[in-house]
Amino acid sequence: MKTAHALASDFPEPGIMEISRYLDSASAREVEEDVSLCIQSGAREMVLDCAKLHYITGAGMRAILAMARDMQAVEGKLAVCNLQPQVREMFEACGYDKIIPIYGDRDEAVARIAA
Amino acid sequence: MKSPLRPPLTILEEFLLLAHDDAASQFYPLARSTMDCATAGATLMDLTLRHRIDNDLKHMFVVDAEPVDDDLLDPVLQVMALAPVMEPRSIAHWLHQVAGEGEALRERAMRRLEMRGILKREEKKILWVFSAERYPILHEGDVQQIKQRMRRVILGDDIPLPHDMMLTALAQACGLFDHILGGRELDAAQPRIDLVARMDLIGQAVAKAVTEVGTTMAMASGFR
Repeated sequence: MKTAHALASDFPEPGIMEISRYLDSASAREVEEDVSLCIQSGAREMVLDCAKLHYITGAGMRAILAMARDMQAVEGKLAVCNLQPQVREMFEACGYDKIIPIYGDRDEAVARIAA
Repeated sequence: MKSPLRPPLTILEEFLLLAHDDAASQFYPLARSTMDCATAGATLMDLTLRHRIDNDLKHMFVVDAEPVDDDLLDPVLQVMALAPVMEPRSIAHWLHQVAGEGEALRERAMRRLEMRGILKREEKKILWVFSAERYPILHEGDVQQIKQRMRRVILGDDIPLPHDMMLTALAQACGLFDHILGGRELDAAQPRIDLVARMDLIGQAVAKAVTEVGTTMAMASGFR
């Protein structure tokens, strides 16, 4: 069983990707590849919904950074929402909140990223 | 004939080249404790990028004890893998442990840079009696490439690669940007340097350890 999985919603944009349970060295690459595939398929606006993500490590953080970098390379937008306490703490400790927009919930993220 | 492909330089090797004063064929005069902390940080970063160790806000742990076939990294990984799984340790703990091997790790990294033909080691006699080591750079291009890359990371606004983000954190902790950027450039770039350097928790731990050692030394010598 996967410890984390990502589900891309149908287009139109922004695409929503749910990340669940853990984002660590075991699962980071898979999620990163899923986002990369979405970008290759033409996605230019994406929201990572982290409502079910309860634990993230340095490897997971680097994966999110890689997604943001891939999106930046195609002049797209990436945002995250619904950060749980441990994940939010990690984002703030590493200053990711200065680089990747963080929103309270999915509706807000969708509205802001599409604006 | 094509030259054989060289493996990319590790973070430790690149850090040593950034800490090298080309004009003087010497390393910038950094405190040994600073170099040890940075060496340990670079080694942990290299193991992280090879997917052998990982960390959260509190702990650093081995996720794959399989050797990476590297005579510098594997002994460190082996020691970390022997630590009890039920007693996870902090990044600061491992930084301190590995820093104890700082000189030996630097020596090995220096030998590798020599073997790659990037620098060489020379012994210079002072007053015909004392000897001092010098390290002239043989491949200026390799060093310039690293410095140019660092400048692009800092002066641009692209999201950096993990390797560059980590190297930035080490360079910042050791004050090496003074030598990479000019005075005005450095002032203007400081917010960006701070932002990038903060993006990695190992880099943050190195900066904290360097500051703590500096403060302890200043207090011990009567300065505040």
